[in-house]
Amino acid sequence: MEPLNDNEELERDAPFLASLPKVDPFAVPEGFFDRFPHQVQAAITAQQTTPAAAWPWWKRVSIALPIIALVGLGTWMLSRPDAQVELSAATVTPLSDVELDAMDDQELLAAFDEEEEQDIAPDDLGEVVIDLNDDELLAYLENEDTDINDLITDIE
Amino acid sequence: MSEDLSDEALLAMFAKEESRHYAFNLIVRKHQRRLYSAVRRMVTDHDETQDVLQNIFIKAWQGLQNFRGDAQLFSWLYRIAHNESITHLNKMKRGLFTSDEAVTGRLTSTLDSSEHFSGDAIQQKLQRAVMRLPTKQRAVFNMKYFDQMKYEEMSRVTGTSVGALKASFHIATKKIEEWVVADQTKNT
Repeated sequence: MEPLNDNEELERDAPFLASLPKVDPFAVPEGFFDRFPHQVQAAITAQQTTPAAAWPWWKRVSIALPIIALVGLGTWMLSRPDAQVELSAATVTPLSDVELDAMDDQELLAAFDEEEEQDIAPDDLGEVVIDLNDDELLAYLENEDTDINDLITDIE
Repeated sequence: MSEDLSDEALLAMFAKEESRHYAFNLIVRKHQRRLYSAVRRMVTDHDETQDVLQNIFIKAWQGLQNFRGDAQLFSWLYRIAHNESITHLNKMKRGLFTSDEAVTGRLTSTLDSSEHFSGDAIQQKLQRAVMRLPTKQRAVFNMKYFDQMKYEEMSRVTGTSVGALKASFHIATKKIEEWVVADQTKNT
């Protein structure tokens, strides 16, 4: 016995269904199939002129996030005070005149290396070497309108 | 005019950039009615059918450049239509947060309007019965009963084996026969 074809199978399994005419019962608005190709063309053209809009939201977020992170990091770094300046400020603290006057010569010498201590004698700290002859010294004093006797008094 | 050109000729025109849009316009005109009917039988409402159909052809435009021609063009388009219809119905179900019965109720409401339905009473009963089928089984029934597709082609469209499709169609026809006959008997 030959196998039944599709229609014969339908007549066997669902005779009432097989007897019904196969029609399309849904109503289509008039002129729809004339307008529809133009509608499709317009939609395609619109997509081609705005490619970014076709990107899914996750793609746009994945591109924007690193850029936002970089800008934020740069802004934060620029807003911080300069670290080198802070470092320099931390290592060099200038002493006030009062603090310097309070230090005696031995304390000052202790701030230097042992080798440097040997190079610097206590008398060096209080001695000013002036390499001027008498005539040059007198010319200086006249220029400064200073009496030599007053200068001697100040030194003593 | 577009019906006179073969799919091969249309695809050759589409391959050339200068005639691509014109060729695609002809492809739409050639296949829009059959695809419209297939989608309308799934989603029933005209406006929703229009939206789904537009999506189908937009995806066809995007994918046609890579179409290798190893299947018939209409089968390829029908596969897109099948997937888009299923996707649309799944979204509808998620949007409504309801069961299949509620979705079926919404789909059959179109059948009650003479503006959208031109069939007689028995056709209305038949369509109501078809709407009661599960979504994928309804798609199989429509392809076989209304579109007269061969099982091999349906297999390419749905990605389901021929045996499974035959079983699905057999069960669907049994259900519809039972429902329609019962409905006829109740009214007589």
